[in-house]
Amino acid sequence: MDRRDSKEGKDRPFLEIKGLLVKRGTRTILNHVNITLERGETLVVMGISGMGKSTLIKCIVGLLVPDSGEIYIDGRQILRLKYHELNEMRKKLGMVFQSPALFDSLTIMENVAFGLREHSRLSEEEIRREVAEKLAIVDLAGTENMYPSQLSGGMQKRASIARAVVTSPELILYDEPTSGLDPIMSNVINNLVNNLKKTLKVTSIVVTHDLTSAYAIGDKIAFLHDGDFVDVGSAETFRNSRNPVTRQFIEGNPVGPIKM
Amino acid sequence: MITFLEDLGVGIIRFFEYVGGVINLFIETISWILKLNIRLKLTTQQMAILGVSSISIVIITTGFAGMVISLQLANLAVKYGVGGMVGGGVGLAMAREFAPMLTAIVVAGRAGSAITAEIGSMKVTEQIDALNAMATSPVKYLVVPRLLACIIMLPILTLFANIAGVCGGSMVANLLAGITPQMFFDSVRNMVDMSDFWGGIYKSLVFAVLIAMISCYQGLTTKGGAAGVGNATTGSVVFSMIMVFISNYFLSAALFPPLQ
Repeated sequence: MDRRDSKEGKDRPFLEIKGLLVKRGTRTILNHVNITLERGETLVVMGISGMGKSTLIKCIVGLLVPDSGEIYIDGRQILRLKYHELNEMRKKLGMVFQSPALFDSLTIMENVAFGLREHSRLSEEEIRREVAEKLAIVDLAGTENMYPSQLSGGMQKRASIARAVVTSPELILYDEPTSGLDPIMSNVINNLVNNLKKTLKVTSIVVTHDLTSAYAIGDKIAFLHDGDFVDVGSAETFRNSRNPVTRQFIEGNPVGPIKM
Repeated sequence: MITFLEDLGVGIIRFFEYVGGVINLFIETISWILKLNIRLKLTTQQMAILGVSSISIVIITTGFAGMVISLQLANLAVKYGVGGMVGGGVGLAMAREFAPMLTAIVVAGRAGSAITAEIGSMKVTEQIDALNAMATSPVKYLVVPRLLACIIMLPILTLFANIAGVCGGSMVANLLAGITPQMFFDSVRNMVDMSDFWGGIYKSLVFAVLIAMISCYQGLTTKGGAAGVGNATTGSVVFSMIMVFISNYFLSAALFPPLQ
């Protein structure tokens, strides 16, 4: 049975999250979170550390099963998919991990080529060309035969971005893509996110603390606090938000409604 | 009293969770193998890492085990005038018990710990999540090659162990009791049946499955940083060895029933 909800599928946004509830022990990490995102939009999720931003994107990619709620990607409820259906869906997604989770027993070339070798029918020559192209974008040309441990933290982060975008996914989830990068490289990453949006209509969700980056790439900025989005709007409305929680975050004020 | 009962209850539940987890992992691994979803390159790599590099330790440990059995038997046998039985005694002890057991213990210590440490550190650095997010099953990619490598290499190592043990035994019998190699190996041929040899090989297959599955399960369920990897690795070796000893008794009882 096609699990696409045909009646509503066409009118649905590309990504829709409804009533997402995630608990860890007695602590509620995400408390009935709702958000929608149209195809080609970039959503920036902000919030102080430990507020469930990474949990949210792990739920979207199916790495974490929420206690309740619904997640629709392109009209399909991913929490109801069977394992192989979920994997088919995952082929359309790219994820940049915070850690950056490169496979340390593989070279940078093998890491970036991983998704292509696993799931595409490209020839080895085409794969090498794709990998070289993506590595050049993140300024890592010439590192193909190095192992992740031979690269600096920032370089590993960039390699992991190259790995996530090489398969031309429709939805890319970035967990802190610019943390640990210098301002120039952060801008390169911001431009990359914007270019993917313009050229390939890629939809992105970016978890970050970096306000400059958020304003540069976000069509929508959402502020996650105490398990829910307390403020959702465009970069402009976010910048001028009167919500005391958002204001405290933007101003970096240690005193305010957010208890540190 | 109540806390004791509570602890006991929690312990029993954890034990069954663990056993259930290992069995589930085994079923999933077998289902990938039956679908012929096997990476030959990864499997041969693991055969080299887990098997070939253990050969020298297996030969040293089982060689000396054969020597010590011969040391004990030769003195007794010469005293009671049954020197012709030393070869058979050493051969039987090696083929039925010592070769498969000692090989399994060496492999559990060397290869099992390596499997858990590698998969465990992949788990805590989100590399397992990255595999899942890239629509690649960690069981297919990591567990299948390791199980196959253990299943192929452990019987081969057991064969080497048999040869090393019997040769070591023959040397000591010759030096201490003047039993010639000719006499020793005649005795081995007369007293050791092929079914004894194959019994030991069957045992090694069971040990291979136990070691591979426990080590992979411990790795995949590792939690909490470097200390977690250390604990998982220790647990993997301890639990593998306990299971090897327990299953060895029942396998011996089934394969070599006592004469009525």
